[in-house]
Amino acid sequence: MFQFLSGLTTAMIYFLIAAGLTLILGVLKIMNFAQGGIYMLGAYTCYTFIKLFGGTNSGFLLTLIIAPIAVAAFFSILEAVLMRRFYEKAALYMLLLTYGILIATYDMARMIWGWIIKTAPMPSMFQRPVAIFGQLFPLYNVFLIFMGIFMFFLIWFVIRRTVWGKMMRAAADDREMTAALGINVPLVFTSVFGFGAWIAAMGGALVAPMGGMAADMGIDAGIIAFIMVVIAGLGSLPGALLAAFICGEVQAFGILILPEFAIAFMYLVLVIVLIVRPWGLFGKPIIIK
Amino acid sequence: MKLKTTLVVLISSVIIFTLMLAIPNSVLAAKAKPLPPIKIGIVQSLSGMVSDYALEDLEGFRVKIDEVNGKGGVKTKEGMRKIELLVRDDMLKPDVAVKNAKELILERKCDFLVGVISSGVLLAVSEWCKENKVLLWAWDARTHHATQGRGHRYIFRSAGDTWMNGHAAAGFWKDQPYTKWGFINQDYSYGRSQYESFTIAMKKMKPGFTIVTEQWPKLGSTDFTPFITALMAAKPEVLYTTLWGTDAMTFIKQAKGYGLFDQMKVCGLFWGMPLLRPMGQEMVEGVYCMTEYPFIYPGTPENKAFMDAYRNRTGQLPSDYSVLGYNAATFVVAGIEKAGTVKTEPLIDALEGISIKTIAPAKTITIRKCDHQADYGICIGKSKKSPDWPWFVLEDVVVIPGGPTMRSCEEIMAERAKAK
Repeated sequence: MFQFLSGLTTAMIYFLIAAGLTLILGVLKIMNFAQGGIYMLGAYTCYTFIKLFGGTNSGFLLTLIIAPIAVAAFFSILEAVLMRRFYEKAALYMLLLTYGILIATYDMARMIWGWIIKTAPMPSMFQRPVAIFGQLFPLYNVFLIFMGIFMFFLIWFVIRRTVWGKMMRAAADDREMTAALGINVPLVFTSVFGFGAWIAAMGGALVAPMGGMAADMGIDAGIIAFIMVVIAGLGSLPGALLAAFICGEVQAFGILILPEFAIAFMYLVLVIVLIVRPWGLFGKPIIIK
Repeated sequence: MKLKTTLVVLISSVIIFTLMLAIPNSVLAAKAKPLPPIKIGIVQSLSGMVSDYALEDLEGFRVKIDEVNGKGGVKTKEGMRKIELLVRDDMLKPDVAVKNAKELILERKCDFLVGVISSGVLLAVSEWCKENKVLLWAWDARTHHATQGRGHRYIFRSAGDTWMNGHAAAGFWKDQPYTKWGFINQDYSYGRSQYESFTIAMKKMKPGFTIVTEQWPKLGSTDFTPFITALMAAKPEVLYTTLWGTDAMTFIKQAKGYGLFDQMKVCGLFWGMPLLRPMGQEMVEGVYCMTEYPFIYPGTPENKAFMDAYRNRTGQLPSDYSVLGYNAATFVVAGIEKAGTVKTEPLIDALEGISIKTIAPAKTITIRKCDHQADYGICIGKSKKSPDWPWFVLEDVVVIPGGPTMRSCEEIMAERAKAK
């Protein structure tokens, strides 16, 4: 049972990393390689703001509001200035562009924050464990699991229940028709990209107090995000949550039985899903006519 | 009209600037022609996961080279010669590193090679150097195979290797009353060989030594929680780990939340400055940290001078890695002075058995003649909050000399014979 909770923490981290990519992929139909870089910048920006507010509890909560918005604003501008020019071109250009942005964020982080690895201080209100089933469990992990579920419902609500979400879905289905109805499609796209960036940056900011950060942390995160998205079925949000849950728990219980193969569990899930349902858990099979 | 004026000002300032640059050059040329510099090719992974530490190696090396060049260079038979560094990034890839080595030696005509932080890169470059009879000085990469089974005449190493690290740790822990051990290492060659050498040593030295759990997270994990709960469920008395970088930081922060440090003793290899500094006040007290350079210990004037020189160069304090670079440079310079030349064969003869003084607590380091491995010692101390520093320091520091932790020459020669 205790191992289950640990797995749930892992799952939520995976979900937070993958959710933004899922959204961008689902609506904009682009494979955003820069997603890991956005996640990394989210963590670093969180670090800066936490330090700025003196590491207080209210400072941390304020950081969670400000830092992801700052990162999202930056990437929205980037989308409007750079990426917008490439939607109509072949997909390869977009891949190269987002990959280029990933590399640029890496060097940007090293230029701004220097080359010593960093960690954001854990806010004092989370520095005590809670007893669950007679064992101690860190309060921050509880907070993280809660935030993961909260983010899922928030994203789901925005896409399914708001006008903005409707515009997103319409633009995803048919760009020309949506534009013909008088909706500013480029603006919708910018906002979707900004929202996706906000989710990734929020993931980075939430993970920041839990561990160390280096400029290359986004690369590993990017790989995790892609694996989750492939298992989920491209662009499926509930799929991403389920994929993260399966991978987290398989990892948590797998290492109890076969600790030697810890590195392989996530890929094992990926391989099985690709064999059984190549289109992902929640995806639709692509029929080639 | 306005544009024209701006243009004129711009062009004339460029011309003036160029002239200013040209003047000192012509003044220099008028002097007697100095001897050509000694060219050292640096092979290092300046991008990729280890790039932060790789830069520290390089900066430490440069501090020594600047010091030498400031005095007019190295004394050779032909006279004083300055040292020039040609740095190439291998991006942590063995094939790129070999390409760089070729370019540095064959095209840029470097006299020898120094560097390498990654074990995988070291074995590849070492193979090339062996075939082409090029001197390779390894400053940081630690796989013991490089100087044991796959060692040869042309490779030297001034850092301690994985064999020595494991045996040093075992030498300390064999006298402690703990037999139930847990392990968590990254699942790649470095983590595996550190695990191997420590367990080999403990099985020899400590009766009743048992492994109750071992965990193998991948390099660069974002999350350690399932590993932490699995470790705690197995209840070892001591946890030995060689996690480094962000992995070590993430592990410590998450394990702290679970109370892992209250349940068992923890011993971390290379948990000195590179970990303590970024951890700041987030570190845990009473953790056994092994390091080659606990920066404030010993408080010698030489160490102080090095710290100042390094800080002037980089704006920050040196770490274990900076000292590794500095040691390598000290060795190389001493070797050239002793040989009086940079020709490969006489230089190798001069370097065999050479000793230097180091600013690290190991005090002196000697290159062993049989395998070209340095007997670099290591320290172990307990982490403790400090009123003087913004991060934790080590107390009760014990220096473990490197010599006794080395494998015997006979065993190494047997390994090499077996490898052939």
